[in-house]
Amino acid sequence: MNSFRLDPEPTPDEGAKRPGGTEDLTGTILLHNARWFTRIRWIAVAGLSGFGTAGFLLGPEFLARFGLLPPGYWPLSLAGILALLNLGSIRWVSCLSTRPLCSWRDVAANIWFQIASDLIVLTMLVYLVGATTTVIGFSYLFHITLACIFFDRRDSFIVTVLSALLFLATVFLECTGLLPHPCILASVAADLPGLLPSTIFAVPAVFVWVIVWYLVSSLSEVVRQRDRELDAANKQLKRADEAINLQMLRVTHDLKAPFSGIESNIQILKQTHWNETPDSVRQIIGKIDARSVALRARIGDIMMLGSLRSTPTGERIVEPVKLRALLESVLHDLQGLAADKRVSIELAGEAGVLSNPKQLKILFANIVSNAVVYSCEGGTVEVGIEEQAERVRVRVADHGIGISDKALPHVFEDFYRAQEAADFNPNSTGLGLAIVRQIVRNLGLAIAVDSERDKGTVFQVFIPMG
Amino acid sequence: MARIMIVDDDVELADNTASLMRKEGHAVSTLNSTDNALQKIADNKPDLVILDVMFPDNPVAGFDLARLIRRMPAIENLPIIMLTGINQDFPMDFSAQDIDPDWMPVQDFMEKPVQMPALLDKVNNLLKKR
Repeated sequence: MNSFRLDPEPTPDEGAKRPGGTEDLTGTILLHNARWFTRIRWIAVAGLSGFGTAGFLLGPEFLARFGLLPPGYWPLSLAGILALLNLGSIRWVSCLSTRPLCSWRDVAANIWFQIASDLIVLTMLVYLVGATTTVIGFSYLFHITLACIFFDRRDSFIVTVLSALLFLATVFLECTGLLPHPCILASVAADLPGLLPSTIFAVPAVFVWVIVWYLVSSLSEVVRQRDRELDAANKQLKRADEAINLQMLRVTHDLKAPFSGIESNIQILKQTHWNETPDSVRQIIGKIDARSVALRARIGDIMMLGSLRSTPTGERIVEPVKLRALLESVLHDLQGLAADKRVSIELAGEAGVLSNPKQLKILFANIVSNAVVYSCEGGTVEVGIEEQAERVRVRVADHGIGISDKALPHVFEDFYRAQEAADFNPNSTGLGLAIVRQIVRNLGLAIAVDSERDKGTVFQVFIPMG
Repeated sequence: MARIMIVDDDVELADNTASLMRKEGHAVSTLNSTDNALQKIADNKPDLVILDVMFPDNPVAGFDLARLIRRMPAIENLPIIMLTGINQDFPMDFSAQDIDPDWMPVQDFMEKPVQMPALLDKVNNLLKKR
């Protein structure tokens, strides 16, 4: 017995097809960003709570060893304020997401609320940790960087300016004595820094933020521009694909219509003039009918193959498929063909996969109908479904004419018809297994054929479970 | 005997189908365009409509007409059998399984060329349900 096998081909990375999240800041994308901000904020709440709790648990003596003062209640208070503000934001986002159409302005208002509340809490943190005596002020850079990634240059600049104003105001109020001078560093807690040293520290810090804003927002703009270009190219491809599909639809319709007309006229002949038609003419009409049916089937196969080849992989429809139900439906459609040939089909096993049910149905319809067509009269076709490690095997075995060693490597080629197959079934289009090969490629399956002349053929299709 | 209206741009197919249905005793009229078809159907109030999908000026004119019929109170419950020359499975991906009150608001669906006994079965079944 000879074997031939087609393994799955590597397909392009699915993730590469979708442009990044900044294609257009529509309500939906902004809403996604708003949710993401609320999730990230819980990390800040946890950090502040952890810091405050550690301050109490470790005690002043332990902290003094590291030159730190006990923070007291303020980290826990700030964590509480941030948590409350975050709960409010989450509630607001939930209300927005229940609306059927989420407007850009509504979500933007929520995001600006989140940013403003974050900056106020952060300024309190910076002040309490030590605005002029520690490097805590650089934590504004998190917000500036995030703003550069999620917003356009104008909005991220507004966030940078707000951060700078809040920081500089804190430093000014502290240095002029309008605000007390808290600090967690024991060594500097007693010293009130003067206005000049504080300014020497704060102004360059703000200068660094502006530099960071410029660099990150420039890079983000480049990435955003590339996303826009990719999105435009993607939309263009989709439009071209829609045009091809429409054209294919018209061509299919126009090519098949004349054959439908021929068959309809033959039906009229049979119903109205059959009795007065001589046998010799009936035979000719029968041949015209058979040729018309065969040509229509061939056109259908050509168009189906073209469609399968033009379907972009990104358009794959993948859903849970119960293979037994799908094969039962295939066998139901082939009842007439099997009855004509007195071939019985036995189905065994069951398994579920994640795949494209329409393409799987076309694939098995072709394989099982081939098994029936090339079986000997009164034969049996066995269809078995079996779960294997991380995949499912569907085995279709017939005991028919088999495939010669010479023909076996070519059976999946377009329009290929083995001599023995053409002799046995003159109406074959030579495209059934080409369609099978295309579906195997589209869905990332593997297929193996084992055959022996005059003994039969076994097709095995291997489908990944997920 | 029922009054049946066939809407199909293929004159030969429409006439042949009409001729075979008349042999079964039905009164059949044909329309070869969807222009004013809605009004003509509303005026004639047939018992059943056999409707093609693709017309030269609009590849989904049959769907559009079926939806308009469902929106016209006088004929909203009119049984419709949809016929199409395009493949059920591919590339159009629609078949009788896709019958839907909004998208494809018809009672039945068949692929051309229809086998007359099968079409007559469907017509008779739908007429019995009325």
